[in-house]
Amino acid sequence: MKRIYAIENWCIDCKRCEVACKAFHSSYRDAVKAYQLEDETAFERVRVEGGLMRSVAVNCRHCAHPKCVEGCISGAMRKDPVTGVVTSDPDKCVGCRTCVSMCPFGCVRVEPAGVKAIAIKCDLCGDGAGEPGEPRCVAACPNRALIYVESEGC
Amino acid sequence: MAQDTIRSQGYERRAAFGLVAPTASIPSAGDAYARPSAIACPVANDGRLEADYLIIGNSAAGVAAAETLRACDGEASILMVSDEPYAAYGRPLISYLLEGKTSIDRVGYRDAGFYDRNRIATLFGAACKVVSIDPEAHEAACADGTVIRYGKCLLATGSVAFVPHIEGMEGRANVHRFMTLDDALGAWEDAVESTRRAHDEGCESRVIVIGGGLIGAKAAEALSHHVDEVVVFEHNNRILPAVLDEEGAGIVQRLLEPHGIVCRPGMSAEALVGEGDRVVSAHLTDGSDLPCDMVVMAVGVRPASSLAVDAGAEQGRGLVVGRDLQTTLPDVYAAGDVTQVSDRLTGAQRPLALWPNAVHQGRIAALHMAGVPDAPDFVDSFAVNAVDFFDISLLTSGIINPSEGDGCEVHTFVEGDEYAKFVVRGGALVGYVLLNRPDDAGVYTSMIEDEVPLSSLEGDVFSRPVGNLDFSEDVRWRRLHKGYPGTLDEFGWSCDPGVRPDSGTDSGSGTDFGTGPDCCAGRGVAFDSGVGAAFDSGASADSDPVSSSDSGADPNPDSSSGSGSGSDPDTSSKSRQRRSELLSGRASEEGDFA
Repeated sequence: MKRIYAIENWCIDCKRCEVACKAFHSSYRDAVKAYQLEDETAFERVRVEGGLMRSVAVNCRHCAHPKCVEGCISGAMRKDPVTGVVTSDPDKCVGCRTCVSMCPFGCVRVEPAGVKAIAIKCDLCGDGAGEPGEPRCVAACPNRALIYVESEGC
Repeated sequence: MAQDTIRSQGYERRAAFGLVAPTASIPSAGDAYARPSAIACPVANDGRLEADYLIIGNSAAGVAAAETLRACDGEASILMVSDEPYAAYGRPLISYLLEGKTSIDRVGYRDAGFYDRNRIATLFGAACKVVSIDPEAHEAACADGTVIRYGKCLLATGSVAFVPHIEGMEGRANVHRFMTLDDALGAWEDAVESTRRAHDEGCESRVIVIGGGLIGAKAAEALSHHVDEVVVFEHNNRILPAVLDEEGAGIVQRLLEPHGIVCRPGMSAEALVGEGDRVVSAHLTDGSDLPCDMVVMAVGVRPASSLAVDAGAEQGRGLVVGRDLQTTLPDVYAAGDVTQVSDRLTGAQRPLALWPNAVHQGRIAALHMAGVPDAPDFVDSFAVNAVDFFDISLLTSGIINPSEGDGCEVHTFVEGDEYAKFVVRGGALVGYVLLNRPDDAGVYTSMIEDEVPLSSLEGDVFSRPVGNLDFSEDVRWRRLHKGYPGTLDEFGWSCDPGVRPDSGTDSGSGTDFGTGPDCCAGRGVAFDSGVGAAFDSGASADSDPVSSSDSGADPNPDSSSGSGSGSDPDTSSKSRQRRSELLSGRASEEGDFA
């Protein structure tokens, strides 16, 4: 499967990846509206660790043997057996944060969603659960610090 | 007094917090769950059912084992037997059900077609409960007399409630447990009825929960949505004694109070006083009496290991299993809450009744049962707990209450209702408490799991959440770049010297320099709001995005580096040199990023 890899040396901490991700995952699909109108559904799924001498965008690794999937108490977190994409079903998720306690990269967060809270993480910008799409963070990066390439061996 | 003029304090409090869950119709689980599998189990001439693999238990470990077995062996017959009449459901979800965060049609652990698709025969229901196993004959007997002959058997029977004897508790319709879906639905119905009855009489409704551990606390949270007050008694001097420390427990207790949950650690019920078939009050250990409408017993759980023990299996604090998860009975394996595991951090042998552990063990046991070569062993584990109550998040792991002389140093950070504690031993993290500070908890877990030397991390990784940047560059690359193609170097450039960086055929995202906004402008994502002004190339919002293409595996074998961490030094330095030549040349030619 293809995965997003961050090339730390090129990252300039501009966070356009976060903006593009949040915009795509908002109900407005528009960056300004997602931020200005405080779209409650909009959470970025890639996070730039930075503010330091170096910065790097971190997103879900869609692991071969995901710990989040193993830990999920509701069966919401699943790895698609065909595409390999790991996604969380927002209807089944109850926001228990078991996935948060297991992800070695800290790339899943639990955010408010009405009466409950749910797991939010990179879904490769797919249209449906388990379907990879065209990652907006990769497209938005001005410096090619994010690449979307075929993985080897996993 | 008209009923609707009685507004109990409890109801107003719950309504203020938005916690009044719909009670118009408490669902009947029977509506949503039917006999889930159409797959028939083979029957022998002597009337015994036959299965290559018999899985006793239909929860985390059982389901993980069943699907792993099917993935390993397409032909074998798999039979799952359980005393609960439902398709597998996420057991920890039962409290969320009462809170309106999930519903009966969403608690299924797998989809409706799971059993059929994996050709798993099922026997689910009280009559199907396995009551004995004969390891020598390879047979299991059910309550209704059905006998199953198996090739290999997995005990995934989980935990059973530990019910201490409290005088007056027998024969009471309003004494509940909180382990199963039926338990939760029964408690829900009783709670709603009790509140209605209490309000009719101008009183408040009260549930007493005996046991302030995880189950008791979640039961209290759930029931607080349906009654006016929940009082939690805990034998220990703090609530959540197994998963939290004193300071954290104090904070949780304080934060639960506005929700109508009163915790009384160090106190318990000596006897339950009843009228007819209902308990009406509890006689407490301090001599006082507390009226109540309902009682939930949540004192603790123990491994449901009687089947194996009765057949002669070795048991410590749970079923003793080898690295292949086989019990001391041949061809009888065990996984999940029923086993005892070796605690990696303390060396203790104890049950580890956690959902992720059950799934993991179920998978490993199945690999060994199926005889998969090089199946990984199950060696040891450690606890990772994740739970939430209302707005409170609690994540804990490993050693959190070290004793003097354990050689541990403790770092704590308190800020308002946020409480973080880190236990360090031998220069590595061995435990943490993260109360209302959940960010990056999994990174801390991986620090415990991988025994990461703290000296190898930059900066203070405790006073604020640890991040990937705290690891050294090499370690960070290794962690984050699994599967990174060997055809690319550490700058993301192709190792093939014949490929120019902007040629569009190189293994990359296809993004050319200077056309960032175009890529986001397609597919309905509007990115022309001024953010990309510095890169304005005049493209319209309707233009197609630059396609993400990659050239896949590099056909030139010479440039293959074969390692996930990038290229060999020679290729890398050549590509760096080539690139700097190109860049210095391009700067004058094309004026990108002007």
